[in-house]
Amino acid sequence: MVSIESPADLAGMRAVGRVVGETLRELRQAVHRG
Amino acid sequence: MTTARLDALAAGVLRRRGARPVPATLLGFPGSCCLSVNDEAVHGVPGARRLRPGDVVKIDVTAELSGYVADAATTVVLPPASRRAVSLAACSRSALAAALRSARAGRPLAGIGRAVEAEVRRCGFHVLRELSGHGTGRTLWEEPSVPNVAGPGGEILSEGLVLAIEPIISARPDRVVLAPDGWTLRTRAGSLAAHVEHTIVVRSSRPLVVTAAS
Repeated sequence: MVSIESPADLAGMRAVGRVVGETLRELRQAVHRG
Repeated sequence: MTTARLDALAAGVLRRRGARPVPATLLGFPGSCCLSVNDEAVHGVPGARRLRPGDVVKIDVTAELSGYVADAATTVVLPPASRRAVSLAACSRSALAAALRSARAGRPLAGIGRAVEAEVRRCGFHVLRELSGHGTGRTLWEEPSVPNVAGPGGEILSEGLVLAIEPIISARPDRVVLAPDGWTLRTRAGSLAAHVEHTIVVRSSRPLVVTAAS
C-alpha cells in the first residue's frame, strides 16, 4: 500500500502520471490515424 | 496499423520521457503496453494483428519514472462502430467517473465497487467480476484490491492513498479466461469488453487524477 507522505512523493506521482497520460493520448491518436 | 506497431510507438514515447514500461521490465510481458482487442479484456499481447474498422481497442500503459509507478487505460472504438460498442465504451467511462466520485478519504473502499457496479447495471452492461483495480505507486500491484462490484469490505480510504481504479466491463454476462499466449484475458463467451483506468491520489475532496492527461 502506497500513501503520499511528502511533497517529493506527490511530485513523483504527478511526473509519472503525466508520462502515462501523455503516452495514452499519443497512442489513442495513432490508433485513430491508422 | 498492427498492435506491434502501436506497441513500438509506446516504447518510443516512454523512452523519450525517461520512463520504463513496467509490464516488460517487472513481469517479463512481451510488449511495452497491453493491447486488447474486442473480446480480449486485458493484458493483450502486441503482435501482428492488424486493427480493423469497428474494433474495440483497449490500451493499457503502466510506467515507472524515478521509482514511482502509474497505470492508466483507455478504450478506443474504431469507426464505423456499432452503437453497442460505442455505448459499452461510454459506459466504462461513466463507471470510472462514478468511482472517482466515491473515492474520498473517510469513505469505505467498498463504495468504489458499489458505484461502478450500479453505473454499469444502469447502462445495461456487466462487470467482469474477476478483474479489479489495485493499489499502486511504487510497483504495479499493491494492496488494497479495488473491486468493481459491491462487497462487504470495511476498509476506509485514507488521505494520500494511491489507487488504480479500472472498471472492466462486458456487453453480455461473461467471465474471463486465459488465452493460449499465457497473458491475454479474454471473455469466455466472446463478449465485447471495455476497460478504462486512472491512477489517483485519495483526498478529502475529489481525488487527484495523476494520469489525467489521457
